[in-house]
Amino acid sequence: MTANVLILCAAGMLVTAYLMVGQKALFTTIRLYGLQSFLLGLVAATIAIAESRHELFITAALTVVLKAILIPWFLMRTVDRIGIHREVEPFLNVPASLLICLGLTVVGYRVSTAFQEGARGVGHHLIGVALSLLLIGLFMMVSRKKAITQILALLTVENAVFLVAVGVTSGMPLIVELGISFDVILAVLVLGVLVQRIVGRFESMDISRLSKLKG
Amino acid sequence: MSLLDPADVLPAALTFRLGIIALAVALSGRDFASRVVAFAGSAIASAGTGMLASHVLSSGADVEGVLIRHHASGLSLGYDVDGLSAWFLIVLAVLAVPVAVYSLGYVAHPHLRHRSAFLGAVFNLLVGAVEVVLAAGDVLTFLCAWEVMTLATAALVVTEHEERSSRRAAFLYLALSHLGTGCLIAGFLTLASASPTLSFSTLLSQAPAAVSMPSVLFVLFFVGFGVKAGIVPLHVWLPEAHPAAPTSISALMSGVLIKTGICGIVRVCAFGLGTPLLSWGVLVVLVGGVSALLGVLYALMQHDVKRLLAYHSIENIGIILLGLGAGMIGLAYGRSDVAALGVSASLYHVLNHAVFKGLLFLGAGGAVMATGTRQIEHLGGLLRRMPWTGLCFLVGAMAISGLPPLNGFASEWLTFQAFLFGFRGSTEPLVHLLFPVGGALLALTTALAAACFVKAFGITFLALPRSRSAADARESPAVMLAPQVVLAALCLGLGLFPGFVLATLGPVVRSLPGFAPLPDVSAGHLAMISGLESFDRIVPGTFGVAILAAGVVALLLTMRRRAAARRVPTWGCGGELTAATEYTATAFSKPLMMIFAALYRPNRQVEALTEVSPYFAREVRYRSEIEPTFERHLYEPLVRAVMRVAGGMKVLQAGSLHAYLGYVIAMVVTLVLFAWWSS
Repeated sequence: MTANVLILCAAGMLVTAYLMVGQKALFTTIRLYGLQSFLLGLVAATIAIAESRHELFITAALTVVLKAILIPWFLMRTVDRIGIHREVEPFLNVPASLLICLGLTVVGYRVSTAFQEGARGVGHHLIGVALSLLLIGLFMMVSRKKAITQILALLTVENAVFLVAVGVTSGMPLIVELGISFDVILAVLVLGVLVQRIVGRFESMDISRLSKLKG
Repeated sequence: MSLLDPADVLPAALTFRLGIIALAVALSGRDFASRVVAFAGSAIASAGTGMLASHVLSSGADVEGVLIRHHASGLSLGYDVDGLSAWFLIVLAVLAVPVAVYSLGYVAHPHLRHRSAFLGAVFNLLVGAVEVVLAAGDVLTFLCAWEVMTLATAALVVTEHEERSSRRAAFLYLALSHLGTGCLIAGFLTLASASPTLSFSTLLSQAPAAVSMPSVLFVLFFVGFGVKAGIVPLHVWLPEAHPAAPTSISALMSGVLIKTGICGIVRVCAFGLGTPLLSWGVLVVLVGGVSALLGVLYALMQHDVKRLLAYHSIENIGIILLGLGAGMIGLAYGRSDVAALGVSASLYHVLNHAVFKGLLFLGAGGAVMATGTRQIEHLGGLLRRMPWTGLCFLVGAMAISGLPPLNGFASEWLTFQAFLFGFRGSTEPLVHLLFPVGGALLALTTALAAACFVKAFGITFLALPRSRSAADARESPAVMLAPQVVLAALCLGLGLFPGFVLATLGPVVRSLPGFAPLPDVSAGHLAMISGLESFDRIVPGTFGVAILAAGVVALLLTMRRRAAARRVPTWGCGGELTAATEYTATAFSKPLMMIFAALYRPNRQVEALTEVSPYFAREVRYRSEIEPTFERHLYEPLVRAVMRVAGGMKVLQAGSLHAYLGYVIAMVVTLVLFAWWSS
């Protein structure tokens, strides 16, 4: 039962990542990220219940509050405030991007077969999903022009790392998790400010224009 | 020595130098104080390390120790003064002390005065780095010190950073040096992979046997050390960098700095990689011969006195390598006596070259400072105005030309001996061919060097001054003359007592691998006879005494006839004799330029300015230059190719964030796949 729930949540995260790649509206992408983080919180909560490790509830709560609610809210506010096109501008069109992500998922899953299944019996799937998420996140960074989507891609990568840490290992010490959460929120704040500065300077959020800074 | 444990001397000297550097920088507002602290301190520290080195040579026991130990990582920088290090440290001290004293006066010149603190601090850094390079006990210490040495030298080369040529020289030096250092790192890493520790003693005794291609390693190290030594064709930095630096630094660079390359070649290339192969020795002899000959040939065409001396450094490095190559070939075919002779000659010449080249640079520096020009075509008649400088320069010029009884003769004669008699007992036809050729090259080189210094001394110091500044020249102050007199006396002493030098060199040569059971090369303090029956038993001492006696007799004869002498003006074919009618340096070297036209490819332009008729020129302008063969045919194509490749690589550096992120993801995917593949 626990294994099934875990795999379901992980699969859901992968699906949200695909939807993020396929989605053109900026607000929907941010909401999808929120959904992904919520599923991550669910993973933590499931483990907390199944193995009655109560400190994991704190992790789950932190994840949901921070990543599923606070960060999406902040990002949407940033987008609203700078009043840019609410559309994602990819370098590649959506079908090609999805095909590449498919290839990356194959890579992630193929590599994950080399790992041990672990005590919960879900190591293969979780690692496969996490690696795929990581590669998809990196791919999103490469293929998107807007700074906000870059931030979302970075956060997706962070979610992937967190998924492995919570789902496969016996969990990180609480202090480390607190530190990471704090890091993430700081990073988002800094990046949000940076985005506003970029927009103020270039009147666009298109970071490919940053190459004009080159001497 | 009794005050200090020998193992503490080097760390103490280096700490002392660091203190001096700090003090010199702190006093940078007060030029005089800063200068005195830096250079007097440097002389004291150099004397200390020189005493340590002589202690090592006299006691025969290595002095080892640790310079810095980092407890957390277990990393330590160690030193190990063995026979070879001690010999080179003595060479360094013999030159560094006079140069430091000379700098006290030289840096006081108005052109340099405001840079006293900089020059003093970097001078100390450089000498300290050279000491560590020579004494390094492990690869890490060596490479760190090697880089500090390179950077300090580059900083000194751009002392006059307002000049474009100085900056270009420093860039060239850095570029070539780093090429060399790259080769050294590659070589040491290859050796280190087969050795349990990084210390030279284990690295060189164990690793070479385990390395599959020692010849590749030999070439790597030879190129790496050769850049610093200035072997042809890696020499192009040398004639640019040496004249650009202040003269006292040039003396140090030419006398000692390039010898660090020789030290490395002797320690690692020649005898560190197992018994040398015959082909290695042949390569060293060929490179040495070509360096010697081309160095002196290019020197002949230079009319800038410091460039001329710089090219002579290339020549002398060639002579040192000739002796070393003869030694390596001797060892390769099992004649350890010939090998000892060649290596002794080579190491002897290292000392001699440091002494006489230092002397020549110091003399040239005095002349340049007094007249403000380095072009000997603008000088002349300086012997009357600067008699002491002129006399010392003459001694140096005779020494470098290999005239007995001075020191250049002693070591070059030993090298000749190795070549003329060394091929007996060999069945290798290559050796029979190569040794006489090597000897002939050496003879030609020495003769050409003599011609070159007849020009350098004659045009600079004799006849009438060719310019106002030469006519107004004043003798250098005593603080600059004293080191020159000391070095000139050393030139004479080292030439008259070669047996003493060879006796000191005995343990050094015996400490090299492969030389253990060896007859002493010296016999007595006056002679330089080896234990071999067939060797010429020439005694420079008697030779020198004979020449001195002849000189005294000639002097007496002229003194006796002076009463009868009639003083009249020189006959000038009816015209008036002025400086404009004098023999010029260009004219002096013209015959040689014509003989070696195939090498020089001279390019001359004669331009006649006429007013009335083409038959009556008002003014004739003459320009002649030789083709810079290596720069034009080797380095320019190389630089163009590198620039082309770099231009192609610029595509990768697109300046686009997405492209960089793309590289990251491509790398991550590759690594993930690689991890899966290899698991």
